[in-house]
Amino acid sequence: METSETSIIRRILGGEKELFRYLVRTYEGMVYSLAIEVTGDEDVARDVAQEAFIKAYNALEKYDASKGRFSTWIATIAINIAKGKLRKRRQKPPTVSIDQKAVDAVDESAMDAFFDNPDEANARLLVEAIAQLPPDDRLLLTLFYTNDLSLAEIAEVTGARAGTIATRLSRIRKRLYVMMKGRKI
Amino acid sequence: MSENKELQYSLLREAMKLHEEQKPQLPHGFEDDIMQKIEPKHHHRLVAIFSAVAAVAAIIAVVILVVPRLSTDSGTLATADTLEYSRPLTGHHDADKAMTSTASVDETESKASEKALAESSPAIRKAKVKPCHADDSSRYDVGHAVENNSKVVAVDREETYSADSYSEALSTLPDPKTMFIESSYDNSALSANRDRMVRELGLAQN
Repeated sequence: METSETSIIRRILGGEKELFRYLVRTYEGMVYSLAIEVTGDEDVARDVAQEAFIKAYNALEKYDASKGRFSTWIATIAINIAKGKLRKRRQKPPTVSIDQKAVDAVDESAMDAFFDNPDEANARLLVEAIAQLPPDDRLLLTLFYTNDLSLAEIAEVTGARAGTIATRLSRIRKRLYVMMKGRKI
Repeated sequence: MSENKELQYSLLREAMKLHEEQKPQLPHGFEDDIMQKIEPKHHHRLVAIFSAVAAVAAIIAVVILVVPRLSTDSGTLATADTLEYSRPLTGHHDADKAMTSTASVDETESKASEKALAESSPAIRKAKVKPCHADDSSRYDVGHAVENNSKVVAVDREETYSADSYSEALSTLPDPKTMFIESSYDNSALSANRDRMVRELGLAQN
């Protein structure tokens, strides 16, 4: 069954160019956000977002709705462009030193209880901890918690297996938990 | 850890929401910039269609203008000195046998016919006719060649082979056509008849 989005895409392919504005408006925030996570630079991220939409438009014939959502497709394009720009600039992501032993020793039930408790103060502290994560880790959190992509969709976007994505998300949470405990929460 | 459990981390979700809110927003006019840089899809399609049509036209032009010349140059319109005697009948078993027999015809006779050809008018030579021998096997082979839509037709000096019948045969053949001229013991008669055939069939204009 054809969704409204696939219907719009079909009409764009039929020559109704102006309808592409709808797709830009719907996904520009997500694309820009992901580009910022990867590049860490808002000007570069803007270029990435623009290139991503133009590339998506020019390749719209290749988009196959049966293989995934448009959001996943455009996210993949944007992330690939952003990573390409990083490689060109030979920019190394900042690294955060975290005690790996402490990460391995995390009590998972205590961690689950911590993350299940929506406390505003802790949320603000957690934002600071998230900002210190490597870009790839922040990208995973953004894809999963902000953009609601499934593990399978993130696997498609990043080129990793879904099981690997689940493991990485678990490790990222443990690192955040260790960072929060270091603040004496 | 299951995906459902991942979704339960409400603190993490709240933090990610705040993290997202801290990011800069896209500048005003981003949408318009994108829309100005893209062309309607049907425009691309029209360009593609016109390109395809132009490419096909170019191929057709090459086929019409170049291929016939190449074919002519490579001897499809055979000359006596460039074509094997049995070439038009290649692949036909009976014809091969017959041509082998034809090739064994007296050399003096063959030389006489080629001499007659050489002595013929420039218009006839331009038609690139090829001599062959007026024995039954040759006639049989040439007939098969015509039936098989080969680029061959035969004429001889005999009244039974009228220009009209060969003209009709020629009209069914693809260009360029090779004309076989059967030799005769009477070379002057052959030459006169061939001259007439070539003229009437319009081969001199090729």
